[in-house]
Amino acid sequence: MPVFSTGVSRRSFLRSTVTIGAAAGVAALKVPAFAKSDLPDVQSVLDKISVDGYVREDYRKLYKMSSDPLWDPAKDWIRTVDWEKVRSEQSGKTVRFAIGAADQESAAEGLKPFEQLSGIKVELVPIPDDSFYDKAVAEFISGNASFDALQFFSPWLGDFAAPGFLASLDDYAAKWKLPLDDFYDTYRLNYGYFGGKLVGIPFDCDIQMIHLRKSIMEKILGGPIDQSKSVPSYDELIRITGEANKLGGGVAGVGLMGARGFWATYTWEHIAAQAGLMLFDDQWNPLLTSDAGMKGLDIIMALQKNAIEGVAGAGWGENRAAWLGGQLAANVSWQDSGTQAMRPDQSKIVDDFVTIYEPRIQGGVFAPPNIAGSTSCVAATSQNPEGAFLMLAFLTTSSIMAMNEANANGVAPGYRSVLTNDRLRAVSQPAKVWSDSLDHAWCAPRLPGMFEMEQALGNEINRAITGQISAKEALENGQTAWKSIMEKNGFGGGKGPVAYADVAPGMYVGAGKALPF
Amino acid sequence: MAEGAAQAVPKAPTRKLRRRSPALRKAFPYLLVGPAIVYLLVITLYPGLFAIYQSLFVVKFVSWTWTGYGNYLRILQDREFWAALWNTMVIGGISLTLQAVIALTVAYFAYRDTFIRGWRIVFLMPMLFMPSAVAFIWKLAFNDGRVISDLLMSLGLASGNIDWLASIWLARMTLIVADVWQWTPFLFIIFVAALQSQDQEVEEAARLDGASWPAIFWNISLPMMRPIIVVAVTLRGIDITTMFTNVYIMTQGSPGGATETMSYFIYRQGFRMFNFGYASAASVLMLVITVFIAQTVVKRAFKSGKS
Repeated sequence: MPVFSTGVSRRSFLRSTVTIGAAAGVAALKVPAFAKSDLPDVQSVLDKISVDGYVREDYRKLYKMSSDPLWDPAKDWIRTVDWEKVRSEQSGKTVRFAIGAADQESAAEGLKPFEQLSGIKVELVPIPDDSFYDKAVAEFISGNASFDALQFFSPWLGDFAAPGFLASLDDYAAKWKLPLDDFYDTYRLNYGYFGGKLVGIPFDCDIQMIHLRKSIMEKILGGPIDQSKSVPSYDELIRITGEANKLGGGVAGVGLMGARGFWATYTWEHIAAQAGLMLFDDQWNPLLTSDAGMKGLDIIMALQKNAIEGVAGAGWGENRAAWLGGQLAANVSWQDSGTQAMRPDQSKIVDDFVTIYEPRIQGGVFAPPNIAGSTSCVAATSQNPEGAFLMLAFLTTSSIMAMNEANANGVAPGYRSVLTNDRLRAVSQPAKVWSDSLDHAWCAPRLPGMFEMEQALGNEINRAITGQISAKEALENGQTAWKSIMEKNGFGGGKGPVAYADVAPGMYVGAGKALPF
Repeated sequence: MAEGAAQAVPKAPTRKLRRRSPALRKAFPYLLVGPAIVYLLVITLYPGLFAIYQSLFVVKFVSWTWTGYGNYLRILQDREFWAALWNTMVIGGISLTLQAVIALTVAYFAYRDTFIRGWRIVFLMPMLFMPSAVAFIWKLAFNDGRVISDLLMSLGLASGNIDWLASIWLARMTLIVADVWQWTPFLFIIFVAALQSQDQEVEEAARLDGASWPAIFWNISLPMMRPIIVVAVTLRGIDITTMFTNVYIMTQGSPGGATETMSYFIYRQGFRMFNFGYASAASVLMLVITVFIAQTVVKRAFKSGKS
């Protein structure tokens, strides 16, 4: 019986639809191969990932950059991995990547080459920037995260890894030959590993450094600044910032991050590390009130007398604005304050600053502080963890990280082959000192609850900075809070969710090494 | 003719009118408001009950450990909680008082003005800005941009840049100024509307008796406005109790926690330190305190205009 007036019978209609359905089913099984056939030539895609294609034109002109790579192609993962193998295994699959909403467009653009190289479709999961981490936490807690991969603040690594939110990446790293050995030890150990397992690929690899304004400090020091000798100690830094502070003219002696929470803690860790601070003994007892801890805070109390107004509320944003705006004669901050200060569109102090080697403290060590930064991880609930790993490996590959540094966008490379590259050093003023420092870096361990502890301590240090309590009281209160938080997180009787021996190698990689200058 | 007239009469409708059953008639209003009530319960009651439930546990991501009233005991011994409560009362109290006094004063001078009568909306402008944008503007003015310092220096009232975040009271003042600037119009517009809606004959009668405008305002207008003032101030007070945006953007609780309000304390505990159970317990306590204060104020101060 005809169904329609067109004369199609019910039987012929059913037969046709069954045939089409079967064909579609077979085609679906072959989608990877089908998708793969549409992919462009690998080399043509890789050729476009170049200085000419990625570094801003105004910066290329400013520094007269050639097309030569700022990295070592032999260590650039995207140029060593077998993309045909990737395509054969992953083409047609999907990866969901959590990204700040404001970065959605740029990320989509940046991931196009990855989609072309791998055949993997990347779906961005935009999360409002101001609540990125809160939402990520909520998603993890739900046990069914809407993303496969994300990048986050590295001090959260212990909090996310300990409850099992993150997938182990060891097998994928071995299978796809991720050049982990090219990362400086401090980044690999602290941003990558938790409990002996690889759970993250280092992304934004920061270090804290000291920057000086040449026009001001050379007058005070009586000559050109020598990066290792002019300010050999923190006592000297206190002296010259005090002198600079007297000069006036809208320029304060020094800037540092003294705001509540982790900002003040990071500044304290930075300085106390030079006094030989270790945060814990091998039984996981906090050592905040040690001589080194006290010395660090005493120096902060002395420096803040020479500091810009608002230092008690200064986090990274405020500090960066004051430094790049020319309001500081010296700055205790991250290395990117040294890169961004070179760029005329970001800075008022181009050519008028220099990044120096970490000043020392008598009886202490040379321990430049690797603090904060971010790491890239795959969610344990990921539907395609291997695809997610490959995407993160692409985003963190040395060529793209080198070009991030050249663009001075605040995302810093942690590769030896990049930071020792002379062409990269020509466009990144701090790179030489930064690179030399990394082999001696100090780092706070990424323990469960560490971020909470650093917040609690920072609140107390902030009270000390604003004169509400003494430095000693601040560290004692902080130590009490740390013990309480650690007990809550299962650290007791020398045992904890992380073995001290697993973490210890990353805390200070400079032990026993000769000074780099 | 008769036949034609009969044809002109409209036919009675053939549709049979059915009467609803008594049960359905009784349920009908409830069915109408039902969806709205369910919606409200889901978005308000459920999170509230969940917060109460969560406050009885030590929550660390997926790990929930029963602690009973342990979180509440810890909070009551927490110096930072009491400091946050005190800060909220001090900052909120000063801010609310200033807003009420300024709004009432301006309303007194303005409510008879025909321009203001027609352009009341203009006075709402500060309220229409995004709170976060307002906070950033004031942060720039006080701290990062040094605008206020420069102004004071140019007027000879300051000898150098003022470190607003180094002093407890200066830091609190920055929050108060920002809040007063943005929210005084809210009270002003309510007070003006209340004054303009009062019976003009009462004022005229008083004028005929020789009363001055201030006397009329103080002895007649103000008592008649009392219920409106109480409601407006209570609403604003509840809002101030939850002050968060300005603290988050302008001070982050600096210096040393002297500007940390209850809302910021709860946020910090929940989303910076991941103590979700503890933060929930603090939220429950805050709710209890807010309800208690609001109820006390309304009960004591609310009297109808006639009484």
